[in-house]
Amino acid sequence: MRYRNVWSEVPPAEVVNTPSRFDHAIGPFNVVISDACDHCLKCTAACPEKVFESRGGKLAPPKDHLCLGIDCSTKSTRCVRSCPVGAIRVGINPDARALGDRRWTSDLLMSTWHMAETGRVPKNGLEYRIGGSGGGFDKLRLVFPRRLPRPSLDKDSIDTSVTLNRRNDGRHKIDIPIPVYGGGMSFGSISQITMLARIRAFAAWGSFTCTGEGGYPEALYPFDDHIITQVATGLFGVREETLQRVKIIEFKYAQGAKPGLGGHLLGPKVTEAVARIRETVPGSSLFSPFPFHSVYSVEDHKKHVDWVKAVNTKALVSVKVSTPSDVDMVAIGSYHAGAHILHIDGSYGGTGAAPDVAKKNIAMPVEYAIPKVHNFLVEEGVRKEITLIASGGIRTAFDIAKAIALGADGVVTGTSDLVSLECLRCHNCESGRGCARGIATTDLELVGLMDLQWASQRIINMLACWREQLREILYRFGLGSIRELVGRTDLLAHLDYTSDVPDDDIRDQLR
Amino acid sequence: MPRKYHIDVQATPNRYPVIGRSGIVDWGEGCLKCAQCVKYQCVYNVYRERSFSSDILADTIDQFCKNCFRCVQGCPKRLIHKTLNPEWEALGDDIYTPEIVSATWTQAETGKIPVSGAGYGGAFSGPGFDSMWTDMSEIVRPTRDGIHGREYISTVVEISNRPFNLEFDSVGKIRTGQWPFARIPLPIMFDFPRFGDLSERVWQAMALAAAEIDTMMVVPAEQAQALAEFSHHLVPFLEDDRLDGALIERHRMVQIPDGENAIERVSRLKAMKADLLVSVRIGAAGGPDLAARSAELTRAGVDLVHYTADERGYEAGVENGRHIKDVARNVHGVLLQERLRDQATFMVSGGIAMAEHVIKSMLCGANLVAVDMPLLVALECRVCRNCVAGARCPVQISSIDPRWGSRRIVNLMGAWHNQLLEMMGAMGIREARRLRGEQGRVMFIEDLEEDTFARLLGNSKS
Amino acid sequence: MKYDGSFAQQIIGSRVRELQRGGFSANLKREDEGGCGVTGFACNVPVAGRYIFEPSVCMHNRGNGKGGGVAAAGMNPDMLGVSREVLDSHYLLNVALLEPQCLSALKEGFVNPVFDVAREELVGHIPDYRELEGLDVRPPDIWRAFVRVKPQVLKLFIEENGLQGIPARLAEDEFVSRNSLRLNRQFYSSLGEKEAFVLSHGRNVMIMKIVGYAENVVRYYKMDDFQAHVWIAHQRYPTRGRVWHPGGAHPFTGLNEALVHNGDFANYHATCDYLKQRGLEPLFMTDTEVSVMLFDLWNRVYGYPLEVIIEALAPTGELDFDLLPPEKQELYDKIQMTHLHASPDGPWFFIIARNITESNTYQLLGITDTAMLRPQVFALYDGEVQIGLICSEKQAIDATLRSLSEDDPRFSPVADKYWNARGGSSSDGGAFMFNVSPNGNGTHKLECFDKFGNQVTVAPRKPLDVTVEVIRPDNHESEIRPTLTDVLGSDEPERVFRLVSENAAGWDYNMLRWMIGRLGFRARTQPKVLNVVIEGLTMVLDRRFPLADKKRSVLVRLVVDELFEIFRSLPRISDATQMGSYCLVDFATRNDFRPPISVEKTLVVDASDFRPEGDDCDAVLISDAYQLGWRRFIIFDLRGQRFEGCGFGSMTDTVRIDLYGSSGDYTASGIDGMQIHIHGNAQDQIGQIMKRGLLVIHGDVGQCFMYGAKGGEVFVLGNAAGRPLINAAGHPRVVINGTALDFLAESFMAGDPLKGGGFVIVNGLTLDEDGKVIFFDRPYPGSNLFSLASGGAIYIRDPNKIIVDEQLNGGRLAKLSDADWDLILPYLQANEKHFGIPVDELLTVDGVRRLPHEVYRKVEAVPLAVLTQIPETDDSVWSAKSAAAGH
Repeated sequence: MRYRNVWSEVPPAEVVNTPSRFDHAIGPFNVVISDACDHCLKCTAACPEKVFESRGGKLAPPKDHLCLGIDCSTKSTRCVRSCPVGAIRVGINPDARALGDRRWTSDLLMSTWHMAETGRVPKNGLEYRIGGSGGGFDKLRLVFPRRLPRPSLDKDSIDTSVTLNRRNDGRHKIDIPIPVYGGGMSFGSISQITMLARIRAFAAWGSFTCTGEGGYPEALYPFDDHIITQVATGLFGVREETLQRVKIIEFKYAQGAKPGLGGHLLGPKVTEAVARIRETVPGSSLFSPFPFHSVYSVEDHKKHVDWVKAVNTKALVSVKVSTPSDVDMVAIGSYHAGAHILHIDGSYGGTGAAPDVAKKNIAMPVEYAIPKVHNFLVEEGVRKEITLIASGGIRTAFDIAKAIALGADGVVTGTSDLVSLECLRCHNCESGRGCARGIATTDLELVGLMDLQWASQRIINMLACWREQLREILYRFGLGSIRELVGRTDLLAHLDYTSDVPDDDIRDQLR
Repeated sequence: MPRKYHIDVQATPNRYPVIGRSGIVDWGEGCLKCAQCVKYQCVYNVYRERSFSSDILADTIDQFCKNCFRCVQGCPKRLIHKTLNPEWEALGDDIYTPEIVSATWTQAETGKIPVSGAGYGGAFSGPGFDSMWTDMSEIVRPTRDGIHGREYISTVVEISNRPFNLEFDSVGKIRTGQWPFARIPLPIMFDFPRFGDLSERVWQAMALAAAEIDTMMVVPAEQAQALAEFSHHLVPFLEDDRLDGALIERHRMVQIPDGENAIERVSRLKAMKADLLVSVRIGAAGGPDLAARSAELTRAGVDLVHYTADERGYEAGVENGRHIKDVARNVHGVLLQERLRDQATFMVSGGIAMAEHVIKSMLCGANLVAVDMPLLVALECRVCRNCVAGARCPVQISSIDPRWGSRRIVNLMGAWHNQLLEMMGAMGIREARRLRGEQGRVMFIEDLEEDTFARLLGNSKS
Repeated sequence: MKYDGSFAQQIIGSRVRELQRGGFSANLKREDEGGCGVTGFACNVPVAGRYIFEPSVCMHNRGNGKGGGVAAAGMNPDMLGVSREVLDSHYLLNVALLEPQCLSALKEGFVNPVFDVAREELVGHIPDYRELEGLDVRPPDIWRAFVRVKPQVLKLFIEENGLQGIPARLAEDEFVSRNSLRLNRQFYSSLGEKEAFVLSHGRNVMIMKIVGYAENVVRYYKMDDFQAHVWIAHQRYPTRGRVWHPGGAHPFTGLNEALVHNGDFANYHATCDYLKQRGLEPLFMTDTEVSVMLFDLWNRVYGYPLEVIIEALAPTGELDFDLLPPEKQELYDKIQMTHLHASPDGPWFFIIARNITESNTYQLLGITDTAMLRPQVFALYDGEVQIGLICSEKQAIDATLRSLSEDDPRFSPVADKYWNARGGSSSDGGAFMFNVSPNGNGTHKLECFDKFGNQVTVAPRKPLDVTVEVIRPDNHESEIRPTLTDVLGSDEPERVFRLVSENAAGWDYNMLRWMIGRLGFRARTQPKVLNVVIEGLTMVLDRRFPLADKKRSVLVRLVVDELFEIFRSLPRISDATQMGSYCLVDFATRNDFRPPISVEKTLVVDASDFRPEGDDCDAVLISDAYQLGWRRFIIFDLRGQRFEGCGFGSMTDTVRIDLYGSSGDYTASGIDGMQIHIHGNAQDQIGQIMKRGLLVIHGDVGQCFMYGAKGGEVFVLGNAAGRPLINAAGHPRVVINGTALDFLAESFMAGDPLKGGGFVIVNGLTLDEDGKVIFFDRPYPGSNLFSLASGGAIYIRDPNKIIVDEQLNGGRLAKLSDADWDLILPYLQANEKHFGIPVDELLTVDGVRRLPHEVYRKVEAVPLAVLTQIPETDDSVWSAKSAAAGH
């Protein structure tokens, strides 16, 4: 690994190979070397994926997560048959079955880890586009034309940027080069390293990251121009000074992980540092109400937006809401209140702790909400003046493309960033000392499990891979810009309504 | 919150080690015995706390493990692996899934609502209750903050055949006299479990819990005799026509099965005790006539119409039986047509396995629900149905200490209560009574699909 | 005598038959709304329509110009070209013609066969709607008629529906409302084309509405001089964009009432189901229509007493229910059990104008929901004329009174009393009504009652007749002039204050006016005394002192007028020839804006023409002025302008802002170091995220005061409405001399007050017109105090131990320690300095001086150990309480 940057600099948006920080990564296959191995190292030459490497003249433990599988390994030129002593066995990794859930299957976790390590789509047959939820994005497919519509298109010049201010109101003009920015995760719920890693990675790509509710630590100041500061219902750490630092201010009305519910940060997580940033007292639990106690109507909402506009006369205003049945009305209300960005957060996302009862029962999945809002804004004739951002269950580049084809301009991610840092969704963020893998914790020992440069690079790699995938998708559709994909539901098919949907795997060669 | 409506919970440990989702496979062979063994570094001290349980004759490690995989990824010789626990996968059935059974155990143990991080990990949707979402309120409709107790959300409901409206005289004094009613602090009654390793101890545990949270429990008449000390909270189910005056005198409410002479029995019972509440139980296949029958019974003065589906929540004894949520919608609609909805109290039971099912049933049209199987699951039932087959209960529920059992059930109800508050808070509904039939606060997947994918993608060519 | 509801079954039965029982069609709600501006007033003399105009303009930012409406009740018959007899006996049919050519068909179908028409007309309007600014959609033509049901038609109706024995008038009422329903169904809801609908059809009640701001109703239909006793208006904020007709605008009517609504229901669907079972189906599909249907059903068909209707709408709960007398509990329990499905689950606030025909009373009624989530202010002035007002914002009340008093000297720009209702409470029931009823001699009287029938009055004092000229008192030369010279020469504002406060009781209005006028004259002519007069008069304005037979509202009016005149006489920023320590800027000269030069110290802003928000608001102007070097600001004649003090950024310790007039929402939000003095009542969301500094409010403060505040020292003379200090953290230190409606210091997280954390002192008192301290019976009336707080404390003056554990959802009562007293005493002393409320008096109970811990109680957070463990549910809080109780 090359570490060129000091922490306060924005790193370059380049892929750098960044392997797991643990002794070994988890992949779909298990490569076992028996005691018979005599370290002849013939396998290192036989494997195209560099599973086998020598360390000090001896065979290092194999990087079996890179293995392409049993079929590959048993080919005549490959490892199993090239081993003179028959010491290599390749099998299915039993760990993989114990990983993941319906939304983030073990395949999706492993393929995201692969992207974060290598910046490339995994070649070993792992599913990298959809999860196993059996609905929504997981039943939608991109329908590529049988022939390339515009073969002359230069893939590298395909535009994936999104305009965030579509009003002509004298406030900042901001375009982000990738159709994604980082969603709010507060300092306190995640470690400062995680927070900075996300900020640096999105900054590398010219995009933004939201601070979440927990205030604005000084360590973020070098990245002011890439930060969205959040005004959430607890108003923790919100000061005029922080509102004036940034180019985008986000009002968080609700979040998909627990729509309509308040939140709390437990006493033990309120460390000295957390308390200082939030201007509270260490060890004392913090509660966020739902909703804003000063906003009980659309009219109050406008007043609220007017307030931050009076405090920062240049900043854009984003309004983050979740997805009730009247989300279209909320959207148009926010437009009239003067918002630049409407951010709808569907009910299947979220990173923080939430009551399980809230996770799937309240508010609608974002797949329904995006077209509802998009079409309503079109009908009302204001779609061109507001940027529609979707989140809450966006896991892959394919989810991004589908969300945009359903009507969003761009997306916000959260969980996938954490997965690229090797989160494996054990759902125990809140238990004991917090995240055992050092991502969502403020426990000093656990925080030390992760290095800032490593973490930043993993996310940069994943974003790089996503952008390449998006460009490939657009190329296959013959679109020169991702803006042309917005609302193109004709490019989608749903397995429940269309039979015979062709596979949309972009690892397959074009016909 | 008024103290009287609070449910006190207290930690009540399991008798048997719980069955965890995944297991640690730990090969001792080839171990380097390195000084830095990952087992010592376990964040959750799993390896230090493990022991051998003589109850299940097994290692307890899987109870403690929280699947962080650090030992799996950290062992230099890769001797530690994780797999799904087959015993866990075999728990329950398609309705009482392993997830629901485990979550119920945890709630019965702790009384706390399940909270976890990292978002939702389940299926997009499913049959029955999984095909609907409750609505929430944003900006234009404020809500209150459920369990954070910011504002009082009432879960109280009444069971009664109510007047359509009140009457006042010309100087404004009320003319409508008091009608009999029972008020319970949760929209949840207990119903007797369909099967189980039942014993006097188990009945006592359930009755004790019903008394403690001040709800009511339907019990067979003979059990009502045995549990006379809880009569205020018991609803004897009078299967046959025998009328025991002393029994009726002791109880606020009785239940009879529906049948040809049911209406006549209702009037006879009411004649015996004017303020007696009478419930009629409609079991098995209600079919399309169910709704009309509910209206008929309400018109005849029945205080509570209790529809029971099978324990999975579907109409019993018919092919392609409807789910209770659809039954509730149907009955609710017909009661509205007949202009009887505000008089009637309609309750469903069967298949109510989680707190969210309570709210969803009510939004579909029930005034309240009754629970049955979760009472047993709180007592560590694995829904293995061994008892149905006459085999031995793996956790010997019949031998429990009734006080332990009652605490477990109270804990479960306490946790459910808080979940009701969360969902009602999100909906902006302050009174459980207002949930009944409030279909403006619910989204059904068939409607969402129709509005979205069917409309946008229904005709797309492949 | 009120109808007793005995024919309810027959009426409902016939309605249901007419509805055919057919489909329980889906309950479609066409649009969501929530934010609105609502206003209304009732007066014992008829008032012209132009006076509903000013408050409507004032509430522009609560609407978006996509729906406005007004209603009048108790009208002057001359304005309508009918006799008093016809106006009182006939139904006034107002029909909006969206397609004017449908009129003949409409009359053929629904008027000629059934009604005798006493008079009909097409309502006049100005020729071109585009002349009116902000009016983009042509308002409908309105056909108006005064009708009675033909006797034979009514007879047939009674027979067909089994209503024999019902008073004929009630049957006629029912016929009229059903006829309109049929008309609406045919011409409005059943067609693809919407052609016409009935705006109103009651007796001596009239509704008009348009797509536009409410005041344009008055302008377009030329109602500037149209007189009525009761007016209400509504500015709507519908979210849906393209609205081409006013069907969804407020007010809505049942029969003899008009209702406007600010809010939104969570249980619209079930409420519709309740109505449909009673033969009522919404056609316009808004919450407001449903609300008025409920009101009309309960009032006219069921004959419920008004108290019962209010209880059915806003049920009494929690502690308040327990505080009701047993017979009320029994009644309310029955109401709740039978009506809860129809009770709108808030937030909402209704204003109703209605004609109570059985007693010839015109009524203005305001009802708030139990959670009190919508802003509401009531006001009463009782002088030569009597007027009661209900508005969503105080500046709308001020605007109404201002415009009335400018044209008619009997009115005062300042009311005698302003207050908030406490929704669903045992004290006032959350509802107040102003009844205008005949005196018997052709005049009317106005009386105000709460839900329980308790009358609200103001002290009977002499009103001021401003038409009487002020004459020079005899002792002017001998006493007044030397005294003034002496006092003003002292350079002590306190002496100006004492001059007025110590003598005012003995003065008559002439003397009072003369004295204040002379002070003003001196200030305007002698720059040397300018400062002492401004500060002295400000103290006179802020403080209470004995006035004997004179009204305080008169004093306030005189002082405010004089101060504004002084301010307006100051050198303008654009005027290079004059310069002093004060410099005046107004909307017209805002572009001449510059840094302070030489002796200039204070920037005085005439706020009257500034926008309430946006780039052209005065708050942005003064924040820019701060950047240019200005540090002292006086902003006067505020009319609801928002965000004062916002945007200055951090470390503003050298800044002081004084606000006069109707200051607006979000004042002092986020301030960090500066001081702001509000000379009068403050509005909603004051001091949100306030960090540091001083805020003094010489009056009441509105909803959500200091939400999320981190610090600062704040003194409030009066009450804080709902939800003060929610989620405040850090170290705010607040003295509230009055009390709060409810939800005080919820989720307070202000650490340990004894170690630098924050606290709130609640004194639970009010000052009467003469400045006498009156302690409330219940120092804190709400059911929720310090809910789920994890830090900070409330020090509450509660010598009679009225606060009970049930009010504390998470906090606990503790004894006041010496350390606590040492901590709060300096704040009580500062409070004495700001408001003249002596610490001694606070410690006096029933005439006896007590020790601090006998008078003040401390509400503190349950020890942190609890909250640092896992409060995943509220159980931890409860078990902590039980644990604490057990030890």
